[in-house]
Amino acid sequence: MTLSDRIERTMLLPVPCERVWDAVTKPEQLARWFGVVSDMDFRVGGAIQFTWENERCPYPGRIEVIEPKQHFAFRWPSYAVSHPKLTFATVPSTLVDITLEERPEGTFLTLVESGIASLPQPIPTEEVYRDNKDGWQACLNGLLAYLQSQEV
Amino acid sequence: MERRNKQVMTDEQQRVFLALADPTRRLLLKHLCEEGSGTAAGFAARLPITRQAIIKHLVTLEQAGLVTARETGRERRYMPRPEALSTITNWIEEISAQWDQRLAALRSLLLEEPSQPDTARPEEHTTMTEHQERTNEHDSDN
Repeated sequence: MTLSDRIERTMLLPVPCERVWDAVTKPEQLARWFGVVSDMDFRVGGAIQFTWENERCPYPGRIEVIEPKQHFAFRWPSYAVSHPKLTFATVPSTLVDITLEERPEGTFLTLVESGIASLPQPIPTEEVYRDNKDGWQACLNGLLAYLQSQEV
Repeated sequence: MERRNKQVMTDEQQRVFLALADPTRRLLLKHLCEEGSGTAAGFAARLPITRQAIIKHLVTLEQAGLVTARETGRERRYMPRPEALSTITNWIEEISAQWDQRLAALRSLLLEEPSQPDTARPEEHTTMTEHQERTNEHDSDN
């Protein structure tokens, strides 16, 4: 078994696609199940501003995909890392990908959050950084393999 | 009413992720996992990094709880710390649980029912480690 970089959930909702689409894309409905979206520029590339715990998130998310009633995806800051040198360009983000599939029984929703293993981009210091595209996934799978080798 | 907010990391989790953010530290941890243990001098002898820089990295890994060290004569010998994995798997668990909450709330919203998180559990497709599955007390009620 390995550590996965993604979380996937599915749910069959016995309502029409249009209703699910509105619930996942309209801020006033998102507020009722997802969280507060204080600002949304509803177009590919548009920003989504989140607010949680009554605080505006320092970094907005970005809409990546809009395929009406089928596919909605956005990136958002993956975690609130409080490092003084992280900026909007360097804070890692995850991709939240929602797809809707019309079925006789209703709407089949698939949600995937990926990039959980994403890391902050190189934090500028006096040291030289090499390629930092990998997340911690490979590294921790190494740790996992080591631990499993110890369980003899 | 549940708060549907973004999961915020604990200090411990932040230390781990920031420690892993450096590719040299990931490389050192990889070697430690493959070889079981290592010393700064040993790494300096075969990596194009100064011993001083290696020590700094190993200390950061130690402070993040990813490795432990013991004094053996003149050297500090470092080894991977098994508990480190649970910091990560717990974080993934927390994110997953939050999605379960959100989707249950979505379902309630769409069906205009009072929120019933226990009966509206979505199907899981997360890949989890064997270690996590064995020790997981919150079994999915499939």
